[in-house]
Amino acid sequence: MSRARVLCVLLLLSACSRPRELVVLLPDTTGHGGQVTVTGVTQSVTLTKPLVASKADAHGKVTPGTVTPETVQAHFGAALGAVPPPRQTFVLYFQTGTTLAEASVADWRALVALLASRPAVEVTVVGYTDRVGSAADNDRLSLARAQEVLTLLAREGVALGLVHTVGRGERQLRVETADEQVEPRNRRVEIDVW
Amino acid sequence: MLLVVLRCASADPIGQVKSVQGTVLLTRTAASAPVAVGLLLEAGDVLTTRAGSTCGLTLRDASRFALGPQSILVLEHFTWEAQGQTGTSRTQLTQGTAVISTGGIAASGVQAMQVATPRTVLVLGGTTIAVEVQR
Repeated sequence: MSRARVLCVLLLLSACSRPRELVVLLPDTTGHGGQVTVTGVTQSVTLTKPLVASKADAHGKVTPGTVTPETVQAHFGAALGAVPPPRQTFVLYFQTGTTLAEASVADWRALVALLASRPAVEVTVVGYTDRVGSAADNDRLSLARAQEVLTLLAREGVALGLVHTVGRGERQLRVETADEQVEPRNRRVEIDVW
Repeated sequence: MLLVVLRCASADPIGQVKSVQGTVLLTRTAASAPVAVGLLLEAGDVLTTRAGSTCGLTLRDASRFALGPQSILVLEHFTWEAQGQTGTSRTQLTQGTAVISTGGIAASGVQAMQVATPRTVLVLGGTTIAVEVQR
């Protein structure tokens, strides 16, 4: 009887030190290096390589380790199946003013098809200009370009869950130019969809 | 009535539910109701998945969260300024499993994107992680 009690206590003790929390760095499909720092009660562990992990026990003590892809699938398979698709960016070019350039028509159709295929979507439309005109005028024009894209999407019957329009004017030029220089590659709208 | 209240976000929305499998509940200001795809999320929202259920959501900086079964995620704090592309976010995984992918906030500043668990705090930098919490 007492031996059984001692055995129970030992099992409980070892249960206290089994990991209660697990953090795993997953392979990054975007190609960017990634990292996460896990801070427990007294120490921190920084993970910088895929499948490197941090385990925390019941007392918040964190220790580094590694896991196998099989472990990841066993623990996180359900959650992995529910990750929303990653952000996609479309760049549309304009003739002067707010008329879409010929070369952007195909990308426009691809954007419309993508938006129609998603039940709930968030979109940021950011307008840019080249350096012809004043900075203030270009702020207004770039916002007008962004809003024109929204109008075009609404005309296509696209339902947009959350939409944000931003005009960044002459900032973040794709191609650096002198002031007042015409540059069609800067006259654009960048659309992020997620 | 409760569903209508939850769908009309009274505060600025910080994100959106993108997928629901099984039963997922939203708790907002002490009221709970089932979640549907497209629901707009607010700071302070708590998402709970039941057994056999999952939920996928995105926030305004394009960060992505996926909850496995029997999990609880709290959207504690979120700011995002689209013009300057900066912000901060803090969420808490109280129990269960989550896969989290960073967006603009993690890229915008050191320590800008944080995830808390009952025993630790995670700071994410441009990456995808899996987190599990056993109570």
